[in-house]
Amino acid sequence: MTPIHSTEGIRARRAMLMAGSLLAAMAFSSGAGAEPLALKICSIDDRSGSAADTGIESLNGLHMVVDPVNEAGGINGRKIELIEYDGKTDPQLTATLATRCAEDDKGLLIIGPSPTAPAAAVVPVANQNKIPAYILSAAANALTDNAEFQFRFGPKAAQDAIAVADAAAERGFKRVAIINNSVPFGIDGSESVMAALKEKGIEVVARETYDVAATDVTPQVMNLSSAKPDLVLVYPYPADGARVIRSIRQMGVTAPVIMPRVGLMKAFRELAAADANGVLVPSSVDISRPEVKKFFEDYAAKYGAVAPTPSAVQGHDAGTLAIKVLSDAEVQKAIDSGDLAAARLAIRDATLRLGQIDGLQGQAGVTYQFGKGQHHGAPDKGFFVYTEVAGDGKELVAPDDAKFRPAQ
Amino acid sequence: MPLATKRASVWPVVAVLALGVALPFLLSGGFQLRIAMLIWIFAILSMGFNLLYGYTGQISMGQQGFYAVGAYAFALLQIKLGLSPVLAFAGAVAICAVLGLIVAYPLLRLRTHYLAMATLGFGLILNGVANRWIDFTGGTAGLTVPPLTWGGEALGRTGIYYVVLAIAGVVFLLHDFIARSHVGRALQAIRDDETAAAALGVPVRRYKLRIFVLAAAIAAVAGCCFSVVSLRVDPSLGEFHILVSMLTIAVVGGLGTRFGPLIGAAIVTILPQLLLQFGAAETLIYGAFIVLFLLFIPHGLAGLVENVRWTRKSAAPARTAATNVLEVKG
Repeated sequence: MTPIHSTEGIRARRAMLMAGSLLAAMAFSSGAGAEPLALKICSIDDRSGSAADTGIESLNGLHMVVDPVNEAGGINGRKIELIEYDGKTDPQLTATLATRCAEDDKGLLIIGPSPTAPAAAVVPVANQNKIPAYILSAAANALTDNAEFQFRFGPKAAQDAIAVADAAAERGFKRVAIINNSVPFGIDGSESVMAALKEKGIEVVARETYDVAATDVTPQVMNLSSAKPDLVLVYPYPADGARVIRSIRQMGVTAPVIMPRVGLMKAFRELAAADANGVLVPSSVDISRPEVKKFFEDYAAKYGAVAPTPSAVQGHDAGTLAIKVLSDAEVQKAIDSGDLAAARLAIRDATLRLGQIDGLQGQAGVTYQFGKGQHHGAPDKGFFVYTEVAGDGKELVAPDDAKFRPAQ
Repeated sequence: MPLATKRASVWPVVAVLALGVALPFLLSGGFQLRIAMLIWIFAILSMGFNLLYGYTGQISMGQQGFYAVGAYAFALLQIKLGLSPVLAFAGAVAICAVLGLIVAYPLLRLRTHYLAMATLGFGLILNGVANRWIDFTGGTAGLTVPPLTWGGEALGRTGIYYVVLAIAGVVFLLHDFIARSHVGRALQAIRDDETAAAALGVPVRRYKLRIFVLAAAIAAVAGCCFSVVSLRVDPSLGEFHILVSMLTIAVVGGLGTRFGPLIGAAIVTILPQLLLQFGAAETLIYGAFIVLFLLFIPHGLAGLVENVRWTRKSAAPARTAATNVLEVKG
């Protein structure tokens, strides 16, 4: 019996030794040789639904920065992996996708979304998971107040409104009429501009709201017309924007028309055609800048022609900053350590440190202003230019300033 | 629609809840836990809809409005009045119940598509208010909801999951109790023929009013749970796609069934995530899937199971909700 016990004892000791060695080896291997993190960026934006254009263009703009870097070998030999999610203009789905990016995909950074509601839904996810989120065009004013991990590239509604109110005041407009659709973009836009106009002492003589699906907006336009405004502001989506501008022309309203953001969109210009001529649009994209012009030529060559809307440019600028940040030595060190939380924190900190980039938005020489306590990139001054729709909706040109004046 | 049986056991419900308790140990990450929470939340919302439409036949297209009001009330009672989450929860449910009563009182005179349109109008009004009363509701961007805390620390995702599960469990047991009790049979009698039900002594108007209020309160419960999970409320909670999700859950899971809301919620929440790999074709595949369900499994997955059981009992004389009510009353 003794030899048997002795043999079992030896076997047991051997097994324990082997298990101990294995555990030690595992501990050693995990501590000393942690795998560097993959450079994963999640693009979460609306590529279907009512804001599909913005999401598609922002992703294309992002690809135009990331693809050349990957073709050249990536950052320190590691290629950037873009994970693309369609948020479908649904805040709840967008938040779920952001969680998937942060927790399942182990993403380092989220780029997107564009509209306010999905962007706002990403903020708690970004803060809970401590993952930086580069939000694009979301206009809600408070989105970056007391921000921790979210950064915004587009102008906020108040800045749009200030640009419109400034232009109206500078040109001597006194009686402004506003017409907006019933969706958040229309409501928020008109509320913001009313506040900005009030500050400038400009009277709002009429404000009309119509249902976004309304096929006839003649009653609202008649009310505008009877108020005799010297400037008309329109806050629509593309399809209803075409209906509004057609009614404005048919009713014989001759006052200049300003249509923030949507006036640039291809869908609006195609639907409105000749009626779109003369519509003025404050835009963060200055098409007189050579680098902006070249960007849209390259974009057209790769993805087909597109109006110079901010979405593509915002995707480009967010990608530019992301590459700059990922190339930073501190960020690379954190990525090499394999510590996901440390890498995300390093990216957040590097964004604050390196965020004064010269992007394609704004006038020449105007840079983003990310920095400590400043998670909203667009400055108040020098960020907007005016563009005029011409050529039966096919062209965007510098506005004729003589026409952009109150009627005498 | 299949009829609930008097002798149906509560144990399948208990087993499902036990599986829910074990789920955090079976899932691999926080994302999967979030999906699990969303399933429970949509199941809660759909249970109210199931009681109202599936069992009572009262089609309400405004349930998403109560869902949003519940979520907003939960957030605002904490933000504006500084109430604790428990009191805010109770307050939000009470507000929705009262609102449900106010809405139900005049609207329940209507039937079928008239009732559907009237309740849809109610939902649209609430959505308009959420979007336009910017100072109060935060407009498009919505409101940030304070995180749940325990001992001064923010509750982790697993903790939040168990809170949601506990609430869902209570609603599930209540839903099941109603479905299996004489109340469920009375509701089905109203659904099948209001006049016949009234002739048999069922207080039709009282039952319809009560179930409408209960469904509104249950929608508020789901809204509160969503606020806890997402830490944010915004107008999208009251939009049409929530209603579409509820209707899809009803189609896939089975209307007027005990487990339909839960099965439907699981499929409607998980399937889009699985289909993400198909990119632009995802919506097409999802739509085709729903059409197939409508064509081949019109009573949903839960209905399919119950139909099998009824087929086995085909030798027994056919029963209707009315005969069940008679039996209870007799």
